[in-house]
Amino acid sequence: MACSAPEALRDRRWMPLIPVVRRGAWPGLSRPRLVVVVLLAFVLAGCSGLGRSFEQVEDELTRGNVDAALERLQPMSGSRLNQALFEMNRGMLLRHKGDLEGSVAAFELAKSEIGALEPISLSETLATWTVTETAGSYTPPVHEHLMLHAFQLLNYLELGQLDAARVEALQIDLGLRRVDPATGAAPDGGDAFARHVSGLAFEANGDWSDAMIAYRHAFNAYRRGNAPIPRDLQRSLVRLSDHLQLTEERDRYIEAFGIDEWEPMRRNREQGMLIVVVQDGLGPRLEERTAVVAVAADQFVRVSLPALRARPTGLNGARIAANGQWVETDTAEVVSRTADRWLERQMPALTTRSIARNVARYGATERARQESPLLGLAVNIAGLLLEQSDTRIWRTLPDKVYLARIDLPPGSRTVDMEFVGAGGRTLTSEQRSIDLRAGQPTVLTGFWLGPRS
Amino acid sequence: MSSARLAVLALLSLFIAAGCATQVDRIDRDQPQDLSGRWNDTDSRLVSEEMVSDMLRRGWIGNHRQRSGNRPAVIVGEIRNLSHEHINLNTFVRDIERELINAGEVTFVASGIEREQIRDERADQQQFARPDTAAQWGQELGADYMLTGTINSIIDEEGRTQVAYYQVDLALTNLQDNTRVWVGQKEIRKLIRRGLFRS
Repeated sequence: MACSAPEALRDRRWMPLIPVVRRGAWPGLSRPRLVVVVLLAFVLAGCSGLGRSFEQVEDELTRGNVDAALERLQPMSGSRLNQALFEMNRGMLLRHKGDLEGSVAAFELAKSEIGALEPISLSETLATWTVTETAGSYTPPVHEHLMLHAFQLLNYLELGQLDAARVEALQIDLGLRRVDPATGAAPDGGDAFARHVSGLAFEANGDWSDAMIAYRHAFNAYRRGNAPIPRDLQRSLVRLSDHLQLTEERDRYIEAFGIDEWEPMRRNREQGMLIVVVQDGLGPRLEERTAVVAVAADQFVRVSLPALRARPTGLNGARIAANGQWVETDTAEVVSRTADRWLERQMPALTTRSIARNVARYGATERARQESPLLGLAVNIAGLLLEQSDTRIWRTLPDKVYLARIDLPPGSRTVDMEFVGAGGRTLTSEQRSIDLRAGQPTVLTGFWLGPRS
Repeated sequence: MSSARLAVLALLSLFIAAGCATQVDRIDRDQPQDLSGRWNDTDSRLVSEEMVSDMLRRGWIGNHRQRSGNRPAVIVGEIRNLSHEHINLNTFVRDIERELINAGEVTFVASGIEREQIRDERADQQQFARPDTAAQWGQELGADYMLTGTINSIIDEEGRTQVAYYQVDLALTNLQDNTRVWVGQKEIRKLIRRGLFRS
């Protein structure tokens, strides 16, 4: 579901205004002044090429050429405004590649960049209100920040670094308490999945109380988002509340989930913990919706707002053959739905800023026109060029995340993973070798980017 | 448009387009540099110095010498990071090892991973080194005590002010009978005020 832009902006594209300006007809606008105006327009409109470059990254990734995707991404490095976004994408691509240490390092750099962006930049704020929306540094919304920590946590679990995974879980909690000190909830979602994997990290470390708290938060977040509670979370809540002798709470979960038998924690610790994570597709992209409106006979304003386009792949989850039985994954996170809520909440502020920029430009154009009509036209054109919506978003995030947890006897084994489409139809399958250790998590990640050509 | 306005616009575009040039200044190792408020090399060094100093002042060393006539052999075991930050424990462990060795009060035994490497080298020597120079098997010194510990943290935050509290707990355990011979604790509190604006 795409977030709606104002009606006037729908299905309207850039109107070709440039041909209106006739060559050689620039009285009152000296060449240096014209150069400055045009230069400024292009300098500040630096993000216009980012989307196109990123399509190449995605093309390579969906073709399975992760190395080529990383090469395509590399030119985007070095931009101060987009450094956090670059590292987030690089971390996710390296995760696709299986270079978990590289992914960990990139995600840590992204976190560091985001931390440095916490204080407000007066110049960037002023520029976003008066010049262009893309003049500000990319600071990820809360749900992307949570996904950054959640995938970093999974990286650490996959690497067997349980303490480091626990650090990520603590950072998720700290961040959410900062966002909402009362409930620790994220405004647009994404916290259910982050809390759920936090619980897994705490449990893997033997921190039962912390795991119970994280699972409770995840349960509340799924309910708040009207999302079904994953079966692993249901079982974890029952098993842990039973272990911690929270009998009333346990009985409530038993009744709510209809669970009548479960493995006690003591026996559970003798098993290997197989965590299956399936990353489905690519996260939504933001597209620009633009309307150019004539506000006077010789003056135009351009309003550009972002709209979301989800990219579902048709995957409905995965099945894993383990210990002679098939176990199905559950939907743990729908990134496009969370992003949709986020953009809907942003839209009033984005619209206000766009209007403010156009008002500022209208005044500037009027003043320039008093000096020279053609200078006024040049300023008007520069303003129209500058008005761009911010379509930056973490596009290598998956569209959905599916999750399952299977407790199996320790040892080496081969598991079959089937990717399942509509009606339970098997789309493709693959075999993986895993090594399970008692009381330790083993993360098995599956990536689905649609049928390979 | 006046020339002054055009100049302002040009300057603004240059300001936005140009990044700040990198500048590097060498600083003294002992000069604390707290940039982010996170656990840093100064914390690691100060904590290791103070805790090892405390450990070596206590009576367990004298007791051990009286009992065995030798300096105690110590090995650093697992030190767990249970804080909210990714802390480079290798640096911390190295700081502790350095303090212990340089104090000269204990004999220090290499850690498990290092021992494996040394054993590989010893195995290599059995085949390729001159027999009178090859290190012998079965001559390793067994540690008497193992040092283990945790780093915990508590964060309290209100607006742009944060108090970070770190608690480092170390314990020395007798490998023979599992008795704790020394327990040390070091706390660090940091008040971090985040600026509202950045350049």
